[in-house]
Amino acid sequence: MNIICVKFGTKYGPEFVNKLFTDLNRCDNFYCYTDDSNGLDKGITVIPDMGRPTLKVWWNKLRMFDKNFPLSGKTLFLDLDVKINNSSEHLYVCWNKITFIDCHWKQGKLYNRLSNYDVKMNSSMITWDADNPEVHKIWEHFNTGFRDYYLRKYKGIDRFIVHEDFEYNTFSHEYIQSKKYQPDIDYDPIIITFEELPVAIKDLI
Amino acid sequence: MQSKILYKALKLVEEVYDESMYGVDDLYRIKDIVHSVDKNHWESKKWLADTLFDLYNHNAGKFYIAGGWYGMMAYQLRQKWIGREMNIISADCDPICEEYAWKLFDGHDISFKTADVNNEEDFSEYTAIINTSCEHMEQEDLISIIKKKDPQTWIAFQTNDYIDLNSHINCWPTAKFFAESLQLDFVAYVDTLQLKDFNRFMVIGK
Repeated sequence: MNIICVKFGTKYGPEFVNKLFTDLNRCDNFYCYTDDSNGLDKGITVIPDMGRPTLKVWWNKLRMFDKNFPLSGKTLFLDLDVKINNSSEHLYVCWNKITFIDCHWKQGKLYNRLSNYDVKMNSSMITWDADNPEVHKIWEHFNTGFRDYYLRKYKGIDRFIVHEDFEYNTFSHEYIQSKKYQPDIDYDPIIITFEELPVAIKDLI
Repeated sequence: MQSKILYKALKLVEEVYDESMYGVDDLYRIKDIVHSVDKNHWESKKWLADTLFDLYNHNAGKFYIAGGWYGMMAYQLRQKWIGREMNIISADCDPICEEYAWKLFDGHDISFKTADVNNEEDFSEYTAIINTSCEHMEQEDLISIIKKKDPQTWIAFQTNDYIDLNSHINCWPTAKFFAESLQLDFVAYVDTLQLKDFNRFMVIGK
């Protein structure tokens, strides 16, 4: 299985990538898609910025679904601000569809409003088969005459994927803890997410 | 005239809402339409039309507007060039822009079409190319437009320094830097319009 992270812009430095790499036991197939590889550990395989279309920050995550993206087979993506709590070897995934985090802690009518673009899924952890043509359709759909409109309409890729009606699976709830919404849990998650909370490298240790 | 345009925008907003009830649910278009006729856009497009009118100094010609959105730029140009001897074409790669532009600015002798400026091979028929969406476009595409045009064709480009939007991929810190980046043979006008939260830069030349 490939493990990949995406680092664009200056919000997260190379120490976040190196920390993730270390926490995942410095595995051989660890990739970083980035516009700046300075400071990355030598064991990390760098996938340099693929260029046009120019995208900002988290929108570059969508590039991973380009059929020309240089990865093949089962792939796990992790955001740079997630804390690895448990080995990803314990991760069981159904690979027939792309899989995201189910934000089951987001409750209330607000999320079902027609005019509310917030969504109940999160792309801090994603798994997919990089050879799956259904996944490539996400990138293809984005790169139409509507791309600039999508960038205005949606705050990020989560809303784009949900509101543009792509099908996806969600991970078992026990794999994830949301530090903000689930401060106390009685299970051992694989990762801890920090939605909307500022994250320093010390928070991930 | 301004109130007539704003009334049409309100009716279009109503139409988008009605469509969301029984057909395509795309309420964000409401926000987009409102932005397209707001004070900032109205003033910055008018600024371009007024300035280009003085520099161009002819009644006739054919203007191509790249990234014309819902048509405000084309409308402002038509307010200055009122005669039929000026042909105005407004293009945008988003097909909804063409549909809504016809509804907002029908009857002003403007041709709206769906087209990606990067796919336009021949600019030789145009006497001016106008682009107020430069902050949304790749720099190499702006240069490509300039290289493809006739040497006598005017260009009037605007960008801004509003880097906080994810769709703004080509902002510049000053009008001077933006002008230099375009590598024009002749620069007639470089200036800044100070808006409430950001600066808009304009370069006119050949």
